[in-house]
Amino acid sequence: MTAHENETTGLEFPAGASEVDYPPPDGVFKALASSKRRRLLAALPSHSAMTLDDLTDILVGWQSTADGPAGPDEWAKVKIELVHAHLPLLADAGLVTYEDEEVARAEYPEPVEELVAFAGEYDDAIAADEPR
Amino acid sequence: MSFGGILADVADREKQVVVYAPDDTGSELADVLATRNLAVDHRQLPAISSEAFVIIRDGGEFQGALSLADLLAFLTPPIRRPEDLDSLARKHRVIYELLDDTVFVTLDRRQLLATSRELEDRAWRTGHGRLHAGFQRADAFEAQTSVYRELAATDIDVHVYVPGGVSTDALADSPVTLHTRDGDLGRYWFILFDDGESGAQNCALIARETEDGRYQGLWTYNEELVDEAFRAVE
Repeated sequence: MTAHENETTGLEFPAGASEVDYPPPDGVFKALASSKRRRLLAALPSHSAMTLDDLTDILVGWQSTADGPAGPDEWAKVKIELVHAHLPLLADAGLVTYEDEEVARAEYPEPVEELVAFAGEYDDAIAADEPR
Repeated sequence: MSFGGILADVADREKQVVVYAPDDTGSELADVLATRNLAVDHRQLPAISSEAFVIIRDGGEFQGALSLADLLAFLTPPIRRPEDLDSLARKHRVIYELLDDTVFVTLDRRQLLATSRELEDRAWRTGHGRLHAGFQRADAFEAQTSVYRELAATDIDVHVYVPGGVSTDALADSPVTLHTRDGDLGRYWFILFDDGESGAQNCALIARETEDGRYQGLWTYNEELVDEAFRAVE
């Protein structure tokens, strides 16, 4: 079997796409449609799990470099959003695993990996252009 | 409690700081932080942010997050009170609360002088209350005699402590109460101010010279701690 590569996107799907467990497109695109979730994906290390508290620290800390110091109220709010909104959505899309207060990146099929990386690069490029 | 006991107590109230930095630059800054009563842990930040930030925890509980640049700016002496800050700096109120308005520090002589001047200036602007200042050296005392003469000309009850053998003639005709120190108290450089009213202007600096010629100690606007410091000299 040979892989076809789309000339425009560079995304490569194996010919037998049905043999690979691809997450449903709506789930993936919905997951990536929020800057908070894209940031969350970027914060997760590729090969190890992270505690929910550490992940919350990173997201709140990252935000504080733009918005100024944040206190416990802000931290609690971010954690609640993670637990009740963002993590379930990302887990449903097959992008993260979330169990016992531990969060990890899922293993993505190649095209999904590239899509997530592209979303991150796009965010960085836009952020770099914004006046600070 | 003695000054030594106060310093030991404050040093024990250590908070945990995690510095997240995108590269090694953060570890250098972590060394600066390590001179405070902060236990510093350094972690590599995933490529999410180009700017280092810190997380402060107390007994494992999240207390605050801020950029490393903000924290270092705040910790540069002399420390200011939030109501003295301009609007841009008011966001530092959060940091001030985080750090419990007491900073335990290692300082060199120049930084200690700058902090002392800030506290003397605060007392002078307040114009009433009581001020106790201890000098370790004759030259330090001589350099400040005119300042203390002016302070004593206000409604402040001024007490000055000097090592034995130092001439205090320069203040003989001023209402300053002079004390010759001996024993433990003589090892400390201190300024204690109580405004005699609301306590909003109370402040204290207590420092002990270390073997390498630097100073270790604290400065605080915490009223309870200022009271404690007064009890150590009175």
